Amino acid sequence: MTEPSAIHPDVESTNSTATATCSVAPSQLPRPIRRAIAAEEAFVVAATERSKITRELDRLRTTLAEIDDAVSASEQRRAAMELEAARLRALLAPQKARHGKKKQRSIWRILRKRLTGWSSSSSGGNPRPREDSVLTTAAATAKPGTLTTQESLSRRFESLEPLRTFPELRGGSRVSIVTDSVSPGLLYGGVGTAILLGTLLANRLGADLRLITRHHEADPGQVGALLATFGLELEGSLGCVYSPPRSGAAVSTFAGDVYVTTSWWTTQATLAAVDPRQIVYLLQEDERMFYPRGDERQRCSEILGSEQIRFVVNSELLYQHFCEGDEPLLNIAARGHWFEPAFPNNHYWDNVEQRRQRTKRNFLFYARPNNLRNMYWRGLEAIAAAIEDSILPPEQWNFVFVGRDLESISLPFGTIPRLLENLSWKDYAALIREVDLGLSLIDTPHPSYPPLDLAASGAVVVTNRCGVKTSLDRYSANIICATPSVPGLTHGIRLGLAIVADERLRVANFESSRIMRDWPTTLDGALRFCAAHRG
Amino acid sequence: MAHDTRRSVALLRCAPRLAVEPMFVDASGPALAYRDPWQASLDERLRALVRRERHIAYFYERPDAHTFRYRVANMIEALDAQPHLGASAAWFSYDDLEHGIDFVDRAHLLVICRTRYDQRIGELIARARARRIRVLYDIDDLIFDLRHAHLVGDSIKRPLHSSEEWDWWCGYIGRLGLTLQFCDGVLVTNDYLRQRVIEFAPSMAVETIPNFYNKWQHDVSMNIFRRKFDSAPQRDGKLHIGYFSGTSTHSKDFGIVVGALDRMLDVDSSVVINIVGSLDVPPRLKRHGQRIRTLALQDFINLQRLQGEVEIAIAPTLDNHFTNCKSELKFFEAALVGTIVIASPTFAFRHAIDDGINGYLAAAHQWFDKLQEAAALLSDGGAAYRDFAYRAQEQVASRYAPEHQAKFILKAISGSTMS
Repeated sequence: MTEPSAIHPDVESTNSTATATCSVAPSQLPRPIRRAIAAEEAFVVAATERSKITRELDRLRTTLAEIDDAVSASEQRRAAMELEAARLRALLAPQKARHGKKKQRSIWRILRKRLTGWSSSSSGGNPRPREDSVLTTAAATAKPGTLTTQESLSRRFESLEPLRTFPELRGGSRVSIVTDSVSPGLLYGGVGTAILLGTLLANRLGADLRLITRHHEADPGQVGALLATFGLELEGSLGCVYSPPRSGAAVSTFAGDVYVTTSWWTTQATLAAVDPRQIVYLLQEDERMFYPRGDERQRCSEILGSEQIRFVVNSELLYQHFCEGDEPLLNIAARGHWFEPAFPNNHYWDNVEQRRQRTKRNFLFYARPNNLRNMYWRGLEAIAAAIEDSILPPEQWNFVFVGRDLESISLPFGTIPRLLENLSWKDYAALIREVDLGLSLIDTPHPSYPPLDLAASGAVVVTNRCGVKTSLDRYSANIICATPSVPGLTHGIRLGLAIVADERLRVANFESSRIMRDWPTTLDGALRFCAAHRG
Repeated sequence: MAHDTRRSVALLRCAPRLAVEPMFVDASGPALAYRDPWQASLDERLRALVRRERHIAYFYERPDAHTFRYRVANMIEALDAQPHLGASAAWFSYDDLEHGIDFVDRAHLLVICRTRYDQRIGELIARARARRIRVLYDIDDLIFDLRHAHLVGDSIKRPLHSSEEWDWWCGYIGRLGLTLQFCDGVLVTNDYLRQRVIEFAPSMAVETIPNFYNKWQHDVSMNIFRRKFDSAPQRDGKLHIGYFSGTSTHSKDFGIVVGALDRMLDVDSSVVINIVGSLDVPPRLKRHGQRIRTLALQDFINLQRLQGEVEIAIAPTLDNHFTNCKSELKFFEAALVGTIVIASPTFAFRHAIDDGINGYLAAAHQWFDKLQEAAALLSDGGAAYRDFAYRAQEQVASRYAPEHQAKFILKAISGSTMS
């Protein structure tokens, strides 16, 4: 059945054909009929015009809405520019003030000189120089652009700005990882561990997973790649929110959220916005050690000392350090749980066959000159000493530096190490399987991943002692913990070489190592801890 | 009506001819002249209302090609196509209220669709009540409950920074919710939305009538489908991925797939992305230059042509209460023209798509893998792609065809919970 006045141009219409067969001329029709037809035509014209006007109005409304959007966007840009201008004025204000004061003092000196000159001549005696009161000559009014205390603190510690949140009405549970970035370069270290913990916790709780990033927008595909690498699957849904301090999207929140924070600053930003009982701080380093004594270190200490949140600590050693080491944190003993990182067999294994075919051995140095706690320069010294003392003769060893921000270097006897950066995770895993002896330093009590990467792949590795980290035998006898002096490290290299030279011992140590190999297993205790203590 | 026909033809708007090379060569055909199908006069609609035994009056603020098309025009067309069921229906709008609300007196049931409350709607409902006419509210979005106002605004990137913006936004949602609360029952597009209505108004009877396409869409789509697959599919050697929800309100949705699309463009030089709408191309994709094509918003008929021209249509969506209330129309519109769909596993898509059978479901971290899986169907001459497209089209045609909907509509509006 055809609708009364619907016209479907793609489907043949017989309307126009039908009307062409009418044989009576309009002028021959009776007047009442002619009037009726005219009225009908007028009505149709009016209806058609009305439709036209309605469509035009809709179009104009759409245009108006677009203009409103553009105006709103423009106002936001203007506000952002004003904010930036205020910041620049604030930066310049102290210099201007100093310049102003200098100018003021010069003018006042001249005036005073003249005034005292007049008064001395009029009184006839030695004039007593007028002393200006320090307290009264200082400017008492704030110059334009001067920041308030709160604004100053906010600018100085931008990363501590609270998460901007809004309430969401929903049920169920959600695990939200709060981190700076999930860029590929960071994904297989601490950030990757956070995602693995978050994924397994979400699966345990029957929850969705959400990534909240503060510095860069997250690509959810990176999460997929990481999970695929470790043979894990997320059972719920994955969402990503990019919420930088002071701008960008706000974060929806509800009672079923569990926030896994990844640093003291993301923890503080989250603490300021949500119920502390919803926060689990994944602690993977003593972050106080990142800073010299001062404001950051103090704030970091306060967060690490929190008695409101829960802690999941990467490695028993680090946990032990917090509980028993220098400046212990007893709250972590009371409210924390530790786990050991895992190095799955499908990516970390000892390639004995390939090793037998090598004519030269491979020495790897984990080298990050701009990460101070990796002690690049001490490592360089130790390697150079080992070469000079013929402990590591270049004719028997290939030297590889792997890390970040590397610059060309010539080791003793013109030995040029190969420099490798930005390796994909697969390429990195393949590389370390070719290593015979590694040197990986870190001036923290955490074992760090590179020594465990190497030991889990059949290499012997020298690392340094630090605080409670006096031995890593608990992981593998192929990890040598040496005093981080040059003689100490070269001695450690000698001990390492002895194991490298003894293939049976090396293999036996590898096979008896106690490095965890499965993430769900190693995180089970931590997951039970998180699930049992949900806020 | 000779003069009406000639004047109507004079007012036809032609969709712009697109300056892109054909993907499925000649599949979509030339641009189609388009005119809104809802042109009937008030008199015609009044006559249509009382044509059969049961008179169902639909009310919508102003006819448009979005909610009105699916929740009013398509419903009326479906009822008209099954006269033996004894129901006739017609739509009315604000413009008609200038002539009074007597049309209510002729109805046995009034369905108010996504309409903001004001004194005129109040009067409409009061008149219906006075005549003991049941009033149902039809809503297709989570846009009636102020408790979700912030979430919804955040999802569609609505600017909500000033008090005035919040006044407008809450007023809009509040008024829609107010009309709902004055009605006797509610019609929704899926069971997820149904649950949200029950949470909002626990005593309200709620029934589900899923969205479906109309006859014009079907006829145009069948022509496109036949041209694509009657012989071996003729393609231009490129893999076209189309995104057809391209207004700025969907920028967060599109953000889910930006990384995956970037990777696809890097690993496969034949990939081209077509974005239909006013969505800004994200910075990360701009480096691919001409391989990212943006096309103007289309009417719903020519949109079928554009969907028929691509190999893969993507429907990424955030996952929250608001998005789970949306329907699966992006799936069935594309499947109807033989285009493979990859969608986020929100409620509606999860229930419509059997992953790997008639479409693909991709969680946020799975888009690259699913794009590759869909692209692989085109290898070896595309026989697998053709089989997949046929399967999806058959399932969509049996489930969403207008001729199958009338009895479901009548059952929903007179269901046991409604009586």
